[in-house]
Amino acid sequence: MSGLVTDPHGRERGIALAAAVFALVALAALVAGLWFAALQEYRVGANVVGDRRAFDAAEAGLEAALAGWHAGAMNRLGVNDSSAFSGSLSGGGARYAGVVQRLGPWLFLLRSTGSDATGSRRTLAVAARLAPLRLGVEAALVASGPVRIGAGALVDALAADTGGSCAGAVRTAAGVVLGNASDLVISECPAGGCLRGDPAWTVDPALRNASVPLLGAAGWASLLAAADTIRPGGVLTPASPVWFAPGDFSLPAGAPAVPVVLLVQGSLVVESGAQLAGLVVVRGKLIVRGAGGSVRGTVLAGGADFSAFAGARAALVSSHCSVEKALEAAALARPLRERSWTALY
Amino acid sequence: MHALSRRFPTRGYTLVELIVALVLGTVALSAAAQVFLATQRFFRLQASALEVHEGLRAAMQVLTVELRELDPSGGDIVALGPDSISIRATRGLEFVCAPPDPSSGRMAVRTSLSSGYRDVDPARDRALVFRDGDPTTEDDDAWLDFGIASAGGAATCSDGAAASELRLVGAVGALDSVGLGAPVRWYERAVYRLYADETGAWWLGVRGWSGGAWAALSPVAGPLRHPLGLQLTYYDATGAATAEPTRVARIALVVRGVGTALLQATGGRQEHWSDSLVTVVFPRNGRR
Repeated sequence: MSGLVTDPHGRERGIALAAAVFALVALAALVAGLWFAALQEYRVGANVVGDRRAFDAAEAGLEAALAGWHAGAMNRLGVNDSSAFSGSLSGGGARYAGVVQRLGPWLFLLRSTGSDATGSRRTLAVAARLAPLRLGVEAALVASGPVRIGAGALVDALAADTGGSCAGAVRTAAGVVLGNASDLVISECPAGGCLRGDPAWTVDPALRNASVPLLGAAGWASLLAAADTIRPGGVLTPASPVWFAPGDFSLPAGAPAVPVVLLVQGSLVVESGAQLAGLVVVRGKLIVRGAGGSVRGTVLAGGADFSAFAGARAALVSSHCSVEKALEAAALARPLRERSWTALY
Repeated sequence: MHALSRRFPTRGYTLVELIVALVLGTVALSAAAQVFLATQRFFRLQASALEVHEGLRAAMQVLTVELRELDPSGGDIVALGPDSISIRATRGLEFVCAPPDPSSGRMAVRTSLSSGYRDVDPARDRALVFRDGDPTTEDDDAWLDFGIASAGGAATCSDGAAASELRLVGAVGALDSVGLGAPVRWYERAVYRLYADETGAWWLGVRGWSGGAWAALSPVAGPLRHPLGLQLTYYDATGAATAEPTRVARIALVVRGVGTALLQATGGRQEHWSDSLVTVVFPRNGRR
């Protein structure tokens, strides 16, 4: 071994170390380059995923705001007023936050910003409008079953409106629309008549066997979506534009200040002195029992009985204006039919 | 000298030592070179893949954003082809905040709600204005199409808030039925298609309609393969392929990218790295 030593001071000369260092440096540079490239790719991928999550969260926010539209609160926003909403999606830490802003009497702008845990954010918007339900007919009473009018009741579709902002409005309407002519029974009618309209009554065969007169199941469901539930003994207030009674319901004396929509799953009894304006939909029978009770607007019912009371006249007065106001207040917002959606910059 | 060599005896390498050293050195250097070259090839491949993926992502991002905003039923797809599409591309959104003047075409739009990809350019852009008509029904809702004479002047909303003025040209008399809060979308005509630059590389390009003529194509993303670097297939609401622009309900999109660098492939062949992305876009703004 000692025979191979050439350096008198014990040091070996050569390029092995330098070559090895050079190779190591070159390989390290390449590996670092690859690592950097891989890291970049990972970051780009993570950004794409984050961006997608934020986009989906923003869309979910818009959908949630529209699906959860509370007519009682949102339809009362003043022009340029806004209401905030927020929520989160399960998994991925995605969240949304946004505002509903009223743009005009009928138009709203919903803006939703989605974000995820990585900090990605996307803002989307939908222009929406109130889409009130429209009744296909103007009448005081639309009934799919028997209607009994007597004992001083009045069903009047020719009188001028007397209530609130609708006062003075006159609009020609039918008195009663029935599924069968034989369903109408009028008795003890005083002088001057107890059924007025143009025509006083008419027949629409489509009403026979209708589950919900005129509205159909879809119309009922759309109003129900905006309704607050009222239990027996409850009082209708303007706090909600749509009330739903899940069974029979008695309307007590008194009156809500504004026209409302009342949905009754069973039968509705209008008690003495009860006053109601707007649209009343009764899947069972409308029974006007108390003296002096009145409904201004339109009643859609499975049947009606105006004969079981005595005393002051009870009335059902047609009011297109009240129905329209009630339906507008109860309207849900829908995206514009075209070009409602946009990504905001 | 003799005395010195006696004191420090030296000895040369034998031939065998030299041969062994040379062989071992060659083997080691060869192995190192192989590793180096393989790593370099891999690096170049990675760089090429990155370049291709970047181009694909950019192309897909631009196209999906543009196509998603379309209202095919309202005429936003002007012309369609298997490797090109001509559209009304949304560039911004405004909201009317004071009753428009149907005699002059002037309208105030709320500054706080303005959103845009860039400023309005009257030479390039047109405006679609939402007309509510009878507000109690959706049946007469429509979007009115106007040219833009000027934009950006100071104005005031009905409620006193800051606004900017848009002066429209066209059948501006119809603005009398445009209500407060009506959205205004401004757009430009744009054509997206595959094109070759002066070096022969293929790109996704776009050109816009400006001042009465088509502007030159400018690159958006790439390089892409040719042919089939951009493939667009259009389907109607029933899922059948359609060539009718107003019936388009979804657009299947394939983008194929290709790297600029030549890479060593197996078998000694040289080829470019290529990859593709596929997606389906549902235009969001078609008539419901």
